[in-house]
Amino acid sequence: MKKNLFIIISIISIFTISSCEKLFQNYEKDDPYADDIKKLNITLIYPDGFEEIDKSGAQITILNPTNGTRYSLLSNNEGKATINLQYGFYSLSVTDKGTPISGSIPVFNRSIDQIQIADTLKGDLNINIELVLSYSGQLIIKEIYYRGCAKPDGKPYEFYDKYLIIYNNSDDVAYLDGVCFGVIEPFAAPSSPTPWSYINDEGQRVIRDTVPIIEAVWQFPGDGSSNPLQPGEEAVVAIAAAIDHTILYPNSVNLDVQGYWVCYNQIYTNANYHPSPGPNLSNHWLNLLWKGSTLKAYGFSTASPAPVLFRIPDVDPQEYVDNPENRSRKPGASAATEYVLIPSEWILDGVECLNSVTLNKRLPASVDATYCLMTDADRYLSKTAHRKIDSEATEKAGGRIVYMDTNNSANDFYLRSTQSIKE
Amino acid sequence: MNYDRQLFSLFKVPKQVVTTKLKGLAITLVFTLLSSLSILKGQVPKQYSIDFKSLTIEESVKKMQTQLGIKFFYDSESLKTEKKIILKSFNDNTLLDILNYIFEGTNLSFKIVNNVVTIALKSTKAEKHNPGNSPISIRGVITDKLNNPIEMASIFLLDQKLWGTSNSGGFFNIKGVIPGNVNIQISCLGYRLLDTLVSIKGDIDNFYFKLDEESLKLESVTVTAIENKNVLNTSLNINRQTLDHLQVISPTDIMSLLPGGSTVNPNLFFNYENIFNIRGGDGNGSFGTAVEIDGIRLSSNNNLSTISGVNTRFLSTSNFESVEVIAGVPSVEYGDMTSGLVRINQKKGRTPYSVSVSVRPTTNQFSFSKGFDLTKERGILNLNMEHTQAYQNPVSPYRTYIRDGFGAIYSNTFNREKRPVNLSISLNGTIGRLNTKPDPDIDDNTWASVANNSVLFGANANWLINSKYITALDFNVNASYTDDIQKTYEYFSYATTRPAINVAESGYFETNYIPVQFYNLKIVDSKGLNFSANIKASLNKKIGPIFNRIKLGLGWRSDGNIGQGEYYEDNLSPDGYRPRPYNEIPFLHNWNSYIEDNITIPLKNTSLSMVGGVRVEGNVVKGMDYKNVFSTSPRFNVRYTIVDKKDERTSGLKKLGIRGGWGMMEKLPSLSVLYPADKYYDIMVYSKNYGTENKYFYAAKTNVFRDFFNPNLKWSRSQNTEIGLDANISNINVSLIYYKNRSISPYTTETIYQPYFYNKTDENYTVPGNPEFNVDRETGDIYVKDLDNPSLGAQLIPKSVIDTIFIATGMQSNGEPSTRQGVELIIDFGRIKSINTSFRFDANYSYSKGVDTKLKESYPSSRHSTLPTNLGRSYEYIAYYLMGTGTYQTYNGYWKDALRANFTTTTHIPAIRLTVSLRLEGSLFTREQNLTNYNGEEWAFLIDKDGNKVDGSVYNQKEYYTGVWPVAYKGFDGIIHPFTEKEATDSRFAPMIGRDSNVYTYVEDGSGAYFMANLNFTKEIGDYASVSFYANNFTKSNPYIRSWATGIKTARNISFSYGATLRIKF
Repeated sequence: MKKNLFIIISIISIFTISSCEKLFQNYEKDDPYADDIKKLNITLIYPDGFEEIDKSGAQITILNPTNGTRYSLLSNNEGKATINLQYGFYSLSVTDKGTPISGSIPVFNRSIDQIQIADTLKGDLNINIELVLSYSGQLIIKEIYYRGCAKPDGKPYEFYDKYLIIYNNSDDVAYLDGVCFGVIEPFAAPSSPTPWSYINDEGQRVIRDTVPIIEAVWQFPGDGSSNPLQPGEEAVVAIAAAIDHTILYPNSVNLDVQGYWVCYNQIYTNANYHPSPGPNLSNHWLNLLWKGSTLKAYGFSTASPAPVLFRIPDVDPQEYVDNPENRSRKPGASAATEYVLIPSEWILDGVECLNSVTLNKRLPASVDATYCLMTDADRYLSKTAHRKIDSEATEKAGGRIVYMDTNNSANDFYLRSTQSIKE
Repeated sequence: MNYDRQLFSLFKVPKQVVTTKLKGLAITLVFTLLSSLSILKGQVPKQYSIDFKSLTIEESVKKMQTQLGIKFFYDSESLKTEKKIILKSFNDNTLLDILNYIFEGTNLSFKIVNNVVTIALKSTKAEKHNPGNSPISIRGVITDKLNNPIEMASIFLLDQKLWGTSNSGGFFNIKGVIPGNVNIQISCLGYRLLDTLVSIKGDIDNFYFKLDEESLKLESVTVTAIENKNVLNTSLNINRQTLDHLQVISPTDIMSLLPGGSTVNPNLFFNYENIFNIRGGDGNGSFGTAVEIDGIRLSSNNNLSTISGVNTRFLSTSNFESVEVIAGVPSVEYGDMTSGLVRINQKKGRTPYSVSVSVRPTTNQFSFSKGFDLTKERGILNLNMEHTQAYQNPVSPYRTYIRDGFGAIYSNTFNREKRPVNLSISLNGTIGRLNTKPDPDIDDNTWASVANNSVLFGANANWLINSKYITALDFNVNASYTDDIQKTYEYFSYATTRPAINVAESGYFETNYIPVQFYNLKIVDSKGLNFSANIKASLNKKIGPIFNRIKLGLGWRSDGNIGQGEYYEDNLSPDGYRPRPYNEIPFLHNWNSYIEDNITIPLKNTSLSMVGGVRVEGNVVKGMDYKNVFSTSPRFNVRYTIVDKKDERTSGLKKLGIRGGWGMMEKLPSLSVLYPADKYYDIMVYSKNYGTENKYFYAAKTNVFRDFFNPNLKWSRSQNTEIGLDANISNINVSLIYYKNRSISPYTTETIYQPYFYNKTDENYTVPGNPEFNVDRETGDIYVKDLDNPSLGAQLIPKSVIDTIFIATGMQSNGEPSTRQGVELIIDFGRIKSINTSFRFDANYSYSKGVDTKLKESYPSSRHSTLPTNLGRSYEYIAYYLMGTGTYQTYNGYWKDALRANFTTTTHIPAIRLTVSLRLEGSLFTREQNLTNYNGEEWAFLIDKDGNKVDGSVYNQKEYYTGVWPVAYKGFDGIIHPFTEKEATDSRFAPMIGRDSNVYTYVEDGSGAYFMANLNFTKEIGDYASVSFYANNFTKSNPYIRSWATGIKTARNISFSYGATLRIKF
């Protein structure tokens, strides 16, 4: 008996001591997870002509799509930043603003969809991020209402009352004449990377700089100065039914208002999604510059649209869209459907709207570095994607509201609880 | 320890037990010895004592029955012909002595077989070989194993198509039999089929057949499809034992028993399954396979929407007695089909009360049946009832198909002695419904329901006249009524009032209006009615050694629909709806007639059989444009038996025969082809929102048209050829068939585009707040008047679009021919007695190829090729593509083949009444490849990913895509131009160029071998119950097999499924 007890006690103590040793060891380290963490060193590279600007304060956002964790960093004045991350896949976006140059503000952006921090990596991961230059211009998309509202009986009401608002964010008169509007292919954000992208030399997936417009190119009519928009003035564009929806559905909006515009053409004969616009909208129809298929309704996703405003400079817009060289079929698809390709330099403003973080972007970083997220939980609640007010710039402009426009909708947009035109 | 000792002590036998046991053993031994001695010595004949006091022969026999307990079989009539009177006493005489005395000097002879005495008239004609061809009669008795007579057993002479029915004494009499080798088949519900070959030279009076009760106690069992050897074309028979073992719930389950057949897990829930398709169908797929139940043909000819075979899910499978699958070149008696026929026979005959319950994951079935013997030769009444439930998803009961079937069949044979008439009348009804309720957790008032009810009535009379000019006459009358009601209750909600275009005339009209929010009930009411009557006469004649049977037939059939068609409650018709009550569509009538001759020429040791005939049939529809709607189908089959050794050898070539057939089969067109119906093309031309309350005015242009009449339309014909070989080598039966079915002119609908002119009115033009609109029907001019200021008069609203577009009109036409060929092999190894197991191997190789070089018109989806989009103009060209090709498909042909093989082992242990069958199914390979061919050359071409043409053959595709041009095009002027290099580089025709999206379109695709196994098990428990269990793919073999072209792996084989059935008889 005594012999047994002695053996048992010694065995137990050996086990305890060896595990305690590990515990002690861990306590000695700062970080119990030290073995699973890698260091990510980021270096920002600015485009030609901007190498000497103040590089500090660039906003870097790193997102882990699998669990939604978000990290925010700021770069130092060498344009560098460091962070410790667990191994996995991350997406990264960078935004920086420069000093205004002749009315437009240079904006630097870059987004990378996938950075892999492998657990087999030895040492740190160093990445160089080349920023892309773009300018935030006069006309911006101020608000997009596309997720619908609730009917009096609680059922959803969507598809019919979509609209977006174009706003003059500058201090000069802007002209709507010739401004084009469209959405990027595909209508709703894809669950795998868009075929209009490629892998660059550094192994990163990059969206092409020439974006495909799907189904239709709408254009504001006018001879060049017929439709002015004063600084701080806005134009509402009804995308489906430009009627007074509030008669039957009070939570919706009245789009039959003098001065509003509508995407309507008698080619779209689907009386469901394109009932003829109300009487107040006569002669405020956008011109249909190009139509890619024989669909009877114009599609604008109620989950994740990517609308863009653009110009077609230097060449006659009708000739541009009619030239087959400016159109292409989708890479790797058999359908005969064609898309009009617009270089991203011509884009005045674009917003990438997603309804889930796991979906892929369609707009290149120069147009929108990130995305505006309105999930399915926010559907049918009259919510809209609306730009935030840039308080600094508003003050500078002497009270005229200036909205945030860093071409990064995660920064620029917020979810507004009701449609702004209802007030 | 104590335990050990107790354990060992079990093996020790107590002393007392041993002693008793020894005693018993001894007694048994002695007894056996004694009885065997008596056997060895020879049976001591029993001795009887009886007195006959002036009795007639019949009375004497009756006395012997009652007093001595001896069983006799005789025909009263024959005994009454003898006037002899018996006056004798017998004391301790043998039976033989007594009988010899009674019948001495009479015209009667007797035979003692198995303790039963059979008495018959001595044949007056010489018993030597009778070379004459004058008909003779055969008589005999049918009993069961315990010598009880069987009434209403059918005795069938297969070659001569003569038959008889046994009476209450088990006695039968068939007259008019032509001497020769006669194949006799005796069947009775509940008993094993007796099939025997007898050489008949003269009158036979004492045939004596004993039938075994059907059960697993018998030595052999059938659980596979049996070849029907008494017809010359391919015919397979599946009996009730097989249907029970396989646990058939849907009729199409039996397709797995055909050579190379594969098991599927059909679900009664789905409307598109449960359709038969023999040998891959023909150019029109399953439409060419016909289905008959008890002579009632089920038809889908009056289906107005689709061309497909008939859906059999409403049939009560528990009441099937047998199913026959006829392929190849069948008799001209069967028409209106191109690939084959499935004949289903229901149970007719005396049966005990039978109850069966079947369970499987998505289906439950309960059935009950009984065959009542109305005694005193009044016939038999079979009643059956079945209840089946099929679920779409075993977890959710909200989507269910329920089928309740009822049936009553009366059968009887009248005038059994002279010229018997076999009558059977059947009445079957089914009540089926499909309910799809939404999950009650969704707060939704909508629902959908489908009810299919049907009644089938059939009456068959077969009259065996046996006169000089007619041997037999068959009448058949049948009718069926199928009532289908589909109801859908839906909720609709929109932003504005919407237009509904419902006019039935051409021109510009204001539309109807649909409210913004409403519930609507849509009802589709179809009441199909079929009626048919047939008469058939046959004559048997022997000319010299040649046996000849001529058959003539006439028939009439009508199909129609008396339902209301699609309609809406509350008259809330949706956009585009036009009422088309089915009862306004005329009935489709079909008449048919045929003549066939069947000749058998006996050669020295073998025989040559030939059958040839022609069938002429036609269709009549009121209001149809086709004048000469009849077809002629000649068919011919021959079988030459080369070797036929009838001895008992077990090795070497026992039997060898070759057979072949050629014939034309024709499938008459359905109502959707023959009867023209109005079609509508609508365009919205004006929609205006006026006032402040979202009020709308809508106007549209409608074009009413009909399909073009095609005077050159041919009926869908198929030319079927078969060559086969049947052999028996060392008791292994081998059957090898090659078939080729060429579908010559399948039905298809061609599309023809024509220019159509319309104009739209400008919606941008301001109208007053309180307007009144007027539409000019011819010009489309819309005038608006201000009701608040009527003095201003009507203003013409200007036009916004003046356009011409192409619209499609259809034309019934014929597609290109295609060929299906194949080889079917069945090797039946027979039963190896020592292991109680039989083996069977069957395989099927099929090959089909088709290349379509017909041109089809297609309207590319594009707007005007040059004018600005804002003008809203339509594309101005039509492309002519090779059939099959288009903007995203570049191939117009294919070839494919496949080899499937099955191996079935059936272990049957009669002692424990158990049958287990294991079936290994294998798909050995499948191959297919797309083809491109026009005028002998490749029509598709290689392109790179940017659409630039690359040189090379498309069959060497590598990493390139393929593109295709249209063959020609036309504009609004209707002039057709060929599509050349010039058009290919012109951007106006860019929307016409086709391109596909993958780099393996022309690569030979296929996959390798994969297998699965099914296990079926049936056990009888006593005489009253039996249990069956099955497990399909019980090894859960779902291997991922790689496709050779794409490299993508997909899981094969059906999913694991199982089920059980319990049957009780009492």
